[in-house]
Amino acid sequence: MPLVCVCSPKGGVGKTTVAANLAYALARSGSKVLVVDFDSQNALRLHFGVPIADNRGFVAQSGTLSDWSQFILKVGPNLFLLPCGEVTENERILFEDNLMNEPMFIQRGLSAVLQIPDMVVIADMPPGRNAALKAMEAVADMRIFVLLADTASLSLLPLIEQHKFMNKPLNNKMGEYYVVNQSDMRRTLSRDVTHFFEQRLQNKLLGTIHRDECVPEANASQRAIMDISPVSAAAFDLDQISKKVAVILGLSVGDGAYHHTASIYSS
Amino acid sequence: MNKLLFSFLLLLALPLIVLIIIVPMSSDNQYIFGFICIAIVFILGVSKSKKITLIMFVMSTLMSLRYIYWRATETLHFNSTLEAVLGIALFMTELYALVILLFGYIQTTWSLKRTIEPLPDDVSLWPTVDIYIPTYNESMDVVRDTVLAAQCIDYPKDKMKIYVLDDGKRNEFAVFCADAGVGYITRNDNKHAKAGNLNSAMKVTQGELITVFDCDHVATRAFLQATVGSFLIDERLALIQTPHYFYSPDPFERNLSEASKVPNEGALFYGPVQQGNDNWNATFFCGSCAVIRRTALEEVGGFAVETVTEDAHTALKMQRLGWGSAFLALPLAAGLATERLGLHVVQRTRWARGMTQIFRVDNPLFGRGLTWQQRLCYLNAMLHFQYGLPRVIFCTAPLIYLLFNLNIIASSAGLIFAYVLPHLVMSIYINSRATGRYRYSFWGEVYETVMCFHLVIPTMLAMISPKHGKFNVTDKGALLDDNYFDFHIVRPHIIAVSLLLLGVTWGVVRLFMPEHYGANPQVIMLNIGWASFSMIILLASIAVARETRQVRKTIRVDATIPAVLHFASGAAMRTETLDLSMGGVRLKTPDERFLDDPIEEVELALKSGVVSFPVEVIDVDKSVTRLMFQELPIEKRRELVRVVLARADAWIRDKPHAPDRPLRSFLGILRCIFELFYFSWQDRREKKQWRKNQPDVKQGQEKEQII
Amino acid sequence: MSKYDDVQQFKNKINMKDIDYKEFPKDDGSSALHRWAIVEQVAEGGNGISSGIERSMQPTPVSATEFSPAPSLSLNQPTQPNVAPAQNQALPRHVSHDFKQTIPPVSEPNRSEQFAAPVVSSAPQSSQPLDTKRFKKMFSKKTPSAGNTGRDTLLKPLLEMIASCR
Repeated sequence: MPLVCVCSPKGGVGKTTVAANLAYALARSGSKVLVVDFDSQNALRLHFGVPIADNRGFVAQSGTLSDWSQFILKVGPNLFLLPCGEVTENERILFEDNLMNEPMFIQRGLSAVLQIPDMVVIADMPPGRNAALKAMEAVADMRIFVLLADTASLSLLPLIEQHKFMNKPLNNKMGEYYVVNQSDMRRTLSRDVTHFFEQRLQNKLLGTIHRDECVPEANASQRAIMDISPVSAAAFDLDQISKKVAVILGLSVGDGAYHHTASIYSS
Repeated sequence: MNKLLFSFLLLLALPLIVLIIIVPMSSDNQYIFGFICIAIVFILGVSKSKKITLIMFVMSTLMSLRYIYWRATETLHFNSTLEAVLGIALFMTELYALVILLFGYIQTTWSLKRTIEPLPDDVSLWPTVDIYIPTYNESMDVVRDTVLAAQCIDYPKDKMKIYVLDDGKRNEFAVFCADAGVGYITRNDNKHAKAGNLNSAMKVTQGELITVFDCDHVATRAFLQATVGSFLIDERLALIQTPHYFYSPDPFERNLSEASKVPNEGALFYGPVQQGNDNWNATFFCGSCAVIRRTALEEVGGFAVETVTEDAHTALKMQRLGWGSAFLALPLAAGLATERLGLHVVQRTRWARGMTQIFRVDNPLFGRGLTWQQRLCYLNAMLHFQYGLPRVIFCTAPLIYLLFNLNIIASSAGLIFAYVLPHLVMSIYINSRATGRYRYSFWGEVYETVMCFHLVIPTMLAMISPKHGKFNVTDKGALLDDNYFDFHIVRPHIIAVSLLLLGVTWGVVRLFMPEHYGANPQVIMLNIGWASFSMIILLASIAVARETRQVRKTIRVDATIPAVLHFASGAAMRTETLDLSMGGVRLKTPDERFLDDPIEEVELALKSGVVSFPVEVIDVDKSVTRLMFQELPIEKRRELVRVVLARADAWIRDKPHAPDRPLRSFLGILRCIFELFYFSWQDRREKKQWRKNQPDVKQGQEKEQII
Repeated sequence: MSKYDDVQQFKNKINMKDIDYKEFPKDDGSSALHRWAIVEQVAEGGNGISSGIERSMQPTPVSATEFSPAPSLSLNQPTQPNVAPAQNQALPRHVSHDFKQTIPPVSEPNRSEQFAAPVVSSAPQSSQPLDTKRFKKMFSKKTPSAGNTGRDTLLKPLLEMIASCR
């Protein structure tokens, strides 16, 4: 039921990595998770071991199909992926058009999944302002903004805080949160910016993630960071973040169902 | 209990009390009486209640008074002048011990467990504080961290000023203070050593409160917020003293393996004793880790310069003018213990001389301004420091009979034993119960025996001619680079042990050949027993002189702090520390990455801030990673101090020591003696081997020394 | 635990969990703020025009005559940097007219409340004689290179063109 929207005003901040690893972590602790890729870059699937050549996804036929769930891939016992898939330019434009103009476009397409009460849906959004983000405003229960620990991201913070990035704040639901990514305590600027974010965002900051070579290495291996380097700093940070998310979403964590993500290709 | 009722009951009980003390008994009856009392005490001992402890105090007091009364009335009959002199000397010694015992009971019964007074929420009401760090010839390495730790204290920046008071007038220090951003004060002369230094700083500073830290006492960040509040609550408070906690081992802990498992030497004083003093407003200043009100100091003309323990004397002067003092038993700062036994002896001798000087120069028993309770507390402190001569007498008294066949106690051995046994057993048992978590049985004897021979002359001299004698500053921070045995410092002990051994041997001979040497076997056995006990304590004291090589220049502090290792490849691994020092850190090895990926930095995460330090790898294996910090610029070093030394909880134990078990404690002391001989023998063997391998070993050692 | 909270440990060990302990961080961020222009501005609410490192280096709106072609004198006169608040000023008509015809409409300028396009620093006197002809060429209707600023334009000549404006 709960839908978490992972977004960012900027590209290249690690949104997809955060979304993917958050999904892994929540699944590991026992929740059922579906992670959906709304970004035409179609990068989310690569985090789950889907080969580059595999270009299946829901966007291409999203206009005609009322139920997108047939494109869902199972990537682990509790973990599901709905890739964006390869799209032509026209398909993309159509998708955006639907997002902008069709009132319940996302709700309808995901209705099969959204009905499952304990299924967490994580949506990986395209960067910046876009139709998908706008459409999400009505659907998402929780928004997580991912920012880098640098001044390029920092300079966009006022925009987000003043709700100029998105038109209105999330009214009822669980609220808006932040994750600061690639924080390097060895570098003065990164340390200063991280510190600033911490002071400014207080409880809204779910956590900061260390700049850690294990992250790109895990991505290159198409695996979860926790699987490749369980003791890496980034893995720990993401784990902490996922625990907070679980608390906010009210998930009962650790009911013993499932503890380790396996690759979908067991080779 | 109602005061009137209490007085009434006391009056009623008085004849009974007097009876218990006075009534002479035959040997058998005394044995029975003694055993019954001991049994009662043991049975009562099951309950941990304070009321029971009080009852036990009363019982022990009565038994000991009974003993002394008997000694005084029955046993002081001598056959010659020599015997009379020695006999009376022994009796005086026992009287001294009794007084100390009773004072101890009183202090422990009424002790004040003070807690922190919080400061008001409005920071503008907080008083201004000057922090003085006096120094003379200590090295920059030591003082630097003290300054940096003081800067980490949580207090408004505009209300706290730190000053280094440099009597050595060293340029290096002036430069450092400018870099760090603290004040630097010097004066034209060096009169009156530390006290003079502090006084001259008072003239050029303005803080309402003055905090003094010895140059090696690193404060924790909570120091001021834990202490200053009391000054706002109580307008007549002049002084709040906190414990001198040592994060480096003292000579006992270093040289005796057993001593590191028992509460250390200072625990009793900076616990029950000062808390007892505090109850009567008689806490005295110990020279460091304390906060003092400026107006009170000004009223007494600044820090006292007339004695070598200027700290205690200053407190006394302030108390005479009606100012109050307080003791907070929380370790909020930590310093370096005296490095070697030799230095320890110098330091304690100075304290003993100083306290004796105060006795002569500004006797707290007389003069105005003190309550009778305060006078008694000071008397207790002063009497305590006179333990030199009594301890020597106690140690060597058996020789008088064993070697010289002189009778200085006019009684049969059986009767003596019957009286002594309950007196000793009860006092040991009850002390163990009352203060066992702060001092284990028989260790007090060891601490005092180590010092006793050295104290006799200085205290007597100070008593006779108090103005005599200089102030010697205790050396701090020097590195000991080799094992050695300090024969010089324990020479009198060795002589004493030899004589006792001789006496015991001779006694055994006489025991087995009574026809030839006609001696009372019971008396001989009693003296042999006493002499053996003295020998054990003396040998344990001698064991302290076995100085072990100090491998590390910096002291390791145990702490579990979350850490991240940064590797050359850019990977970052999460782990935690095992221990830290200002020179390096030991951590749990997170995984096997270290095998081909060098560690470049370690990041330590405190809630107050996360800091990363460049490191060099000393040694890594599958379980432990040892890293050395490289030379750090001052800002980084301050952060390291913040993590290693200035954490608020750095020195606070989460649970007290295990309670004392007298027999177990005694066995521990025997173990020290065993180790003395065993390790000395081992050392000798190792030295021979080391000399053979000298060139290879040295390099490894140099690195070891730094962390 | 992710960070060691020594103050909390202290409170726990001395059994005074609700004592009000105030932290005074050495680096409460203020020094960080003064170090980096962006951090300082975000801290101050991002609206302060007076924030930023050096006032004299702050960009100001371009003057009306900055890009006018023929009376090249006006272009080459030293422009006064004005620190007036930004309002997107409409370019003087004759210039904008030329612009509209020769160069395809640029996408709407980003409507930020802050500063206008960087002012071109006053052209050096020496370039005065060269420019007239070049400008004329540039702004003439039939210039092929000016016609398409699409992806097909070669980069180098375009850059040279831009450079020659200065």
